[in-house]
Formats: sequence, structure tokens, C-alpha cells
Amino acid sequence: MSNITLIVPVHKLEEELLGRCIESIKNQRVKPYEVLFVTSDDDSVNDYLNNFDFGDLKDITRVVKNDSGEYDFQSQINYGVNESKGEYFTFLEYDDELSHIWIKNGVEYIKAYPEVGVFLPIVYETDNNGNFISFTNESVWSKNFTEELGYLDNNTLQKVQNFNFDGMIVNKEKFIEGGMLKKHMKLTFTYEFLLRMTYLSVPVMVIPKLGYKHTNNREGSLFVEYKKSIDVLESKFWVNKAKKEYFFTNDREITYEP
Amino acid sequence: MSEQLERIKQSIEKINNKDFGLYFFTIDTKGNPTAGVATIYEHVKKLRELGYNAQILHDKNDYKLREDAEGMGIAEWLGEEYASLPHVSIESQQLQVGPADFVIIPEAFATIMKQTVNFPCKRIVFLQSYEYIFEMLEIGEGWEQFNIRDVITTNENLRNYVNSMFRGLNTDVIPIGIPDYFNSTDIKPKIPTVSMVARDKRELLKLVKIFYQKYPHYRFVTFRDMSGLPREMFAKELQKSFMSVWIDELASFGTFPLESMKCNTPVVGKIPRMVPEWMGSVDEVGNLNLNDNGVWTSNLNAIPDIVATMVGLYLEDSLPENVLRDMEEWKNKYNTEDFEKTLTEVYDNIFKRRVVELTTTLEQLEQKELVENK
Repeated sequence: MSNITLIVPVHKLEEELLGRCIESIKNQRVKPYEVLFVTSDDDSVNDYLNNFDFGDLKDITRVVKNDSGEYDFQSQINYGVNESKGEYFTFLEYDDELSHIWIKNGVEYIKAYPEVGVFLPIVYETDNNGNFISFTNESVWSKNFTEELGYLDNNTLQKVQNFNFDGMIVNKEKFIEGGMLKKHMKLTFTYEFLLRMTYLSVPVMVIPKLGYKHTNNREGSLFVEYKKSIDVLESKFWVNKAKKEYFFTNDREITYEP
Repeated sequence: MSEQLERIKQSIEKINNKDFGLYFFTIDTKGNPTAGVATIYEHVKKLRELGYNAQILHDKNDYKLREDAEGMGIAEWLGEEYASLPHVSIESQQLQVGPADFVIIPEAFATIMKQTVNFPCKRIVFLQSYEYIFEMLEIGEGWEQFNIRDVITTNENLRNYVNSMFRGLNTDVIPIGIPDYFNSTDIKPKIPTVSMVARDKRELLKLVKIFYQKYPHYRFVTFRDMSGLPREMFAKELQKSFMSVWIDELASFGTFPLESMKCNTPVVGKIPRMVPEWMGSVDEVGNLNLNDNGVWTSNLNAIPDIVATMVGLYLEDSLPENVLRDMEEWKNKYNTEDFEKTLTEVYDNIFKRRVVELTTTLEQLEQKELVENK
């Protein structure tokens, strides 16, 4: 048993993807403390999950319907965190998979590094057919890439943006104190969150293990749909905004004006 | 004649009273850590703890004991407790030896064996590497010609080897003891760093270049050449690494893989010409039976690929169970307790044999004197 809550935000019913995602939770060598499926106002998702056979996970699984009216990814995670009971939490997108060793490693690294607030996995990036493309986050283990081997720092983030926090294991208290995820940060909410955590001196470490299998640029995903809707200038705008907003824990309304 | 008799009687008494010198000749590595020299210092340290007057004997007065502008000395890489052991140089001409004393000469120094042939003391060869036995011997020369009858070595393979080369040797084995500071008690998980030790440093550079070229997605893996590190720092770094690489074609024993096992760090290694006893054995028909306490290969070119496989397994927490299990079995086989116990027994026997030798000489001289006096 661990002290890690696993949050799975599900905004759309895609049975095959969701089935693979749940299977990866069932395969964990060490089970999470609890599994929270955070659903939106889509009743088909609620019905599906409420009738799903979770097998061994049944006793630790809850389906919670987000009734806040905010169904973007960040709000779904924040909602799940408020509902969670574990000391730490992680999350899994319903179209991705956790590596079977991820929760186990989370437990081991929390024990070895209790001062760390955010543990990122090495992400195994695949194409739509499941073929390996690259790793993400692994570079912090390259000698002299960051200020301290294995840790992500603010100076490195100023220069390099392509880190992925999918599957990150986070100390819940530090997450809430630090202002949680900002829904107004649009596409750069990951980047802004990591900048903010490092600015607040919350140690961010990459566990040098494959923790998360992420389908890169999956057609139909929220990320891809959103990416299609913005141009290069807007993209730059959000990166620059992230570099300014991370000083604040409050999520402020931001509007892009071309 | 009676003066000579008296001298031998006194020597026997000196040995029985631990009142004699044991001089271990040691090369000046100029601050470069070597397992062979470390073993010699361990012998001297332990013998002194047992109450014997053991000393390090070196050639020149400027033996590098402490750090200078050019780098470490014994104090830095081995420790102050070793640097502060008594040292005596040949150049100082302060060394005086009698029949009760012992000079221990590393196998490579055949010239010293020759030069000391008329010394009244007992001379013993300390054999740690088969590679250097014939380095300074002429064709047809053997240790027996320099009145060398006693050898101390570190393992059975070397004992068998040297006994097959030279006749009439008393060869004692004192296995090395891996210090307890190699035993990992740190709960920190291991990091994606590969510790490397090789006799030929070019092999390491080649390995790293090939690895990064063939496996660019593993560029985050760090390779660390462990040479030149102080002993305890060496142990700490080795404990952190998720694996190690050992390439030493000419190794006679191979301390590094055993240190690595003690650190719970799996080793990938090239099988040396003389298969170490802990690595496996060669049966009567020449078949090599390898233990699973590491990943052993005879193909040097396969090592980058094996390292890549190990990296993949490490990332998935799937390092080979059989290797981890066998390492666990072997990690404590070469321990300091056994080293100290065997060392005590072996030297005790060597001193007893010397007393018997001197007693025999004494009896022969007494008989000769009796005959002459009649």
C-alpha cells in the first residue's frame, strides 16, 4: 500500500483507450492508496465508470463527478486533489498508460527523498501506433545539464521548456500551498507550474525510471485540438506569460490579444 | 664461529619475542591509487596491530606520502592512518637487516631479489599479478636461483600458476578483504551512472563513444572513470552507480568487481586471460563455467550493447534476478574478518618456519663447531 492517490480525469468516453489506461493501473506492482476518476458533466462517462468492473481495484476506486462547472484539464486535476486522501497524488490521462513500476518507485523515492515536493517520471513518448519516439525529462540526469544532477531548477527551465509533468507524483500540501494548477495558463500550464514550484524552492526531481507512456500528438486529444487553434505568436505569448505568472500563486484571468 | 652461533640464537629469540622487522617493498605510485599497493599497506597495518614491526620500504627518499601541487599522496587516496605507518627508504641507507628480519618483495622486482641474495634476512615474494613475474627475469632465470622459497599470494589461481613455474616454493594464500565501507547501507536508490575501471583507459573512451553513437536516446547516462579517486570516495561513487564496467585483460584477481558486488552494483566485465576464482572455473576439458555474479563476456565489442541492455532493464526495474541473487552470495566472501584471520595464521606459520630454519642452521653450526673442536 502507498500514500499516493492516483487521479484520472476523464472528459470523454473512449472505451479502448480507457481500458488500456485502467489495465496499467491494475498492473501496478504497488497499488495506489486510492484511484479517483474525476468525471465531467458527460453522463455517459459516469455511467460507464460506475458500472465498470475494477476487479482488485474495486475497494480503492471512487468515481467523483466534478460539479464545479470547470472541465478543463487543470480544473479536473485540482478538483481531484481536493477530493483526495493520500499524502501525495499522481495523475494519469485516460489516453495514456502508467508503467507498472511507477507507484512502487514513487513509494521508494518518497522514502529516500522526503524533502522533494515533485517527482517527475521519465516519459516514454510514442506515436499513435505505440512506437517509441523519444524520452522526456531524462535530460536532468545528463552531467552538467542542470544545477544538480537529477533535479530540475528554475535557471534550467528558463532555457529549456520541453518538460512533461504527466504522471508526476506531488506532495499534496506543497501543491495546495503553491497555488495548484492554473486554468488560465492555457497551453503552458505545465511549464508555469514547474517554474512556480522551483521558484518556491520546492525540489523537483526526475525519478530515473520509465514511469509514464504518453501518446504524442494523439489525434482528437485536448492538447492537439487546442494546439491547432493557436498560431506561433500566441504560442510565444503564453510562454512569455508563464515566465511572468510563475511569481504568483494566484491564477489570474489572462486574455490573449493579437 | 661462536659469534655466529650467538647471532642466530638471538635471532630466534627475537622472532619469538616479535622483536624483528618486516619490510614490505613498495613502488611509489606517485599518488595513483592501485589495488596492489593498497593490499600491501593493509598487510603492514594489520601486522602492526598484531604487534609486529612491519614497515613500508621504498626506493627513494621523496616517496609521495602526502598531497602536493601535482596531486594526491598516500594520505589522500588511502587515508592518514596508512600514511602514518612507518616508512623507510633504501636511499637513506638506514635499513639494516639481520637473520630475524623479513623483506617482502613484489613479484615484479626480480632485480631486488637478485641484489638482496646475500642479505642475512628472510626474503619473501608478494605475488599479486602473474603478468609481471617475468618482467625483469632473464631467459632461464627463476626465483629459486635467488634463494626465494617463500611466496605470499592472494588467491588459489595464482598459487597454482606460480607453483607450476618455479619448483620448491612454499606458497601461502592470504585473500584480500574488501573493506566494510563498500557495503552499501545508503537507502538512496541508484542513479543512471556507470562506474568504469580499465587497465587501458583507451578502452573506456572507446566504449563511451560507441555507446553514445549507437544509443543516442541514452545520452543521459553518465560514465565515470573511477581511477584516481581516494578509496572511500571511490566506494561512495560506486555505491551510487546502477552498474559498473570492468575491462582488465591481464587481471590476476580483480578486486574491482568484488568491490562492486559489495556495493550491490552489478558488473559487466570482460573475461580476463586468467579467469578469477570468483568469476568461475575451467573444467578438465577446458570448458569455462561462469558464475552469475556479474555479466561476463569474452567479446569486448559486445560491452556497449550489454550496457545498453542493462540501462533499459534498469529503467524498468528489471535488472537480471539471477545476477542480483548471485552477487548477494558473493559480496561477503572476501571480507576483512577472513583476511585478518588468514593473515594472522599465515604470518604465524612463516615465522615458525623461519625459527625452524634458523634452529636447523644453529644445530648444523654447533655440530660443525664440535667436530672442529675435537
